[in-house]
Amino acid sequence: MAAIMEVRGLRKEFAVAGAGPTGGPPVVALDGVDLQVEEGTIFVLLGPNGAGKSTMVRVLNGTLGATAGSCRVAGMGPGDPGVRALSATLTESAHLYENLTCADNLKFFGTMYGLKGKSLEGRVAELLATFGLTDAADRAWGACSTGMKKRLQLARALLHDPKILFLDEPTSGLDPEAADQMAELVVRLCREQGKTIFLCTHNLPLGEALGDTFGFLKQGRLVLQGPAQQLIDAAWTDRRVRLRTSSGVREETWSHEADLAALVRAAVAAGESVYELTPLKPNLNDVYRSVMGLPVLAKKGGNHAVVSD
Amino acid sequence: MLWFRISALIRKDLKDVLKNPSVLVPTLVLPVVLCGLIPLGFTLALLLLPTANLNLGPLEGLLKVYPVPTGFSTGEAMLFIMLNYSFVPMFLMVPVMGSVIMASQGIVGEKEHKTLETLLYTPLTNEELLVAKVLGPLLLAEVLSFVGFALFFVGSNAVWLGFKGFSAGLIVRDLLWIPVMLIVVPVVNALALGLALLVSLKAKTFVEAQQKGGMIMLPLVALLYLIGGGVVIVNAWLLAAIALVAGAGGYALLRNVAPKLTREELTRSL
Repeated sequence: MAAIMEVRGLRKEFAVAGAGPTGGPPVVALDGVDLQVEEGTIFVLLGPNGAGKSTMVRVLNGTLGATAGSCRVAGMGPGDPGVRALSATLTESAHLYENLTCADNLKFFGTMYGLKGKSLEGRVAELLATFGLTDAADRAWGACSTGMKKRLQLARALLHDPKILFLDEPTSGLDPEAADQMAELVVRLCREQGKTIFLCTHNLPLGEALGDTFGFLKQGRLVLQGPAQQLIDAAWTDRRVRLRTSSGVREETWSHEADLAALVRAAVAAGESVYELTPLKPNLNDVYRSVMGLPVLAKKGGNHAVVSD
Repeated sequence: MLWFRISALIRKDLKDVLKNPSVLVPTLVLPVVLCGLIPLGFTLALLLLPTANLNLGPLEGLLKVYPVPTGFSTGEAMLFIMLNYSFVPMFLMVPVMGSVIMASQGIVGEKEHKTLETLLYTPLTNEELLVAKVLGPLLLAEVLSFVGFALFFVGSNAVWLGFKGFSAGLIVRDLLWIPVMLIVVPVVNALALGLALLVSLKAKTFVEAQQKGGMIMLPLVALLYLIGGGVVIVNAWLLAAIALVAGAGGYALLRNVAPKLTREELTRSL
C-alpha cells in the first residue's frame, strides 16, 4: 500500500506576544514529527488535550504552514490548495452557518469545492438522504439537534467525495447510539470507499476500535507509531500471568510459553487445583497510559499488565 | 481566482446579514434615520415654523458663504444650506457603518460562530477570501449610501415641492453631491473597511469589532459639528482634501491588512 501522507521532522512553532520587541519564546506545538499514513487505512492520532493533534491536522490539510521539516499529502506540499480540494476536515470547533438551512449550508460549501448547477443540487439531495436529513433540508442548522448537526457536518465533509478525511473528535457530544453510528460510518467510508481516514481523538476505546495504525502524540512529539499489535507486543516487556488455584490468586512471571506449562505443573505438584491461567497482556489503553505517564487503572476482572517504558 | 466562489461567499455573507436581526437592524437604521428622518424633520420644521424673524446669531455668516438662491427667506436659506452642505458628513457615516458592520460580521462574526474554520478548510484561496471579504462590505455600503441618498433626495425635494410648488425648483440641487457620492463616499468607505478588517483580525467578538471599528465615526461627527457651526465650509477643496486623506489612509490600511488576511493568520486568531 502506498503512503498518502509522509511527514519528516515536522516542527511547528507559534510566536507568542509578550514583553520586548520580539515577544516571548515561541510555543512549540509540533516537534520533529515523523509520520507515514498508508492510503485507504484509518490512522488514529491519540493524545491528550494540547498535545498538538489539531495543529497536526491543520498542517496536514494546509491551513497552517510548517516551521521546519517536510510534509507531503498525496504528493502535494503544505499550503497547496489541492490538498484541501481532495481532502475534508471535520473538527469539533468547525461549525456550519446557524442561520442557513441544512440544504443551503451544503450548497454553499459545495460551491466552495467547485460544484455547480445540477450536479451540486443532486449531490446535496443525495447526501441529505444518505444522512437521513431530507426532512430537515429547510431547517436552519442552528435549530437542529446535536446529532443532526454532526451528521450534516459529515455530509458537508463528503460533498466533494474526498480521498482523505481528517476527523478531529468526530463523536464528541453524541449519545452512545449516535456515536456508534458515526463510528460505523467512518469504517464504511474507509473499507467500502477506500478513503484514508486521519482520526484525532483522546477517546481511546473509539480509536482502538477503528484504527489500523496508531500514533501517540505527547507534547508535540510523536512518541510511538504503528499497528496496535506491534505497539502492544513492543510494550509487553513485563510478562506476567495470573494463576487462580485452590490456594488463591497470584501473579507469576514468564518468558516463554514452556514456562506456563511449568507453572501449572509446579502448582499441581504442590497439591493445588489449577482453575485459571491468564496471561496479563496489555491492551492499547495500557500502552497509551504508560507512554503518557499516566497511572494504570485497576480494572475489575481485567486482563491487563503493567507496561514498562 | 474563481469568481463563482467569491460571489457565493459574498452572497452568503449578505444572506447572513439579512437573516441576523442584530446585524441587520443597525445596518438599516442608520440610513433611514440619517438620510430619511433627520433631513425630513428639518425640512418640515423649517417650512412649518415661523422663521421670518429667525435670529441665526453666528450662523448668519453661512448665508454669505454658500450660494443661496435669491428670493429665499432666512429659514429657507438655512434649509438650503443644511440639505446641500451641512448634511454631507451624514452621508459618509452611512457607508462607514455599513462596511464596518458587514466586515466585522464577515470575519469576527464567522470566528464567533466557529464557521471561519470550516471555511478555511475549503480550497478557497487567500486571494479569493480577501476579495470576497473586501468586495462584499464595499458593495453593501455603496448600495446603502445610494439608497440613503435616493431617500434623502426624493423625500426632501418632494416635501419642498409640496410646500412651494414646482416653480420653486428642487431644494437639494447642488452639483457637489455628484463628487460626494461618486468619489468621497467610496473613498471614505474604503478607509472604514480597512480599519474594520484590521480590527477584525484581533477582535474576538462582533460587538468588540463593531465598537472599535465604529471609532471612525468620531472624526465624521466632529466634521458634522464643524460644518454645522460654520467653522469648516463645504466646497470642492474640502471634498478633495477628505478624498485625499481618506484615500491615502484607506490605501495604507488595506495594504497593511491584506497580507494579514491569510489562512495562517486567521487560523491563529481563532
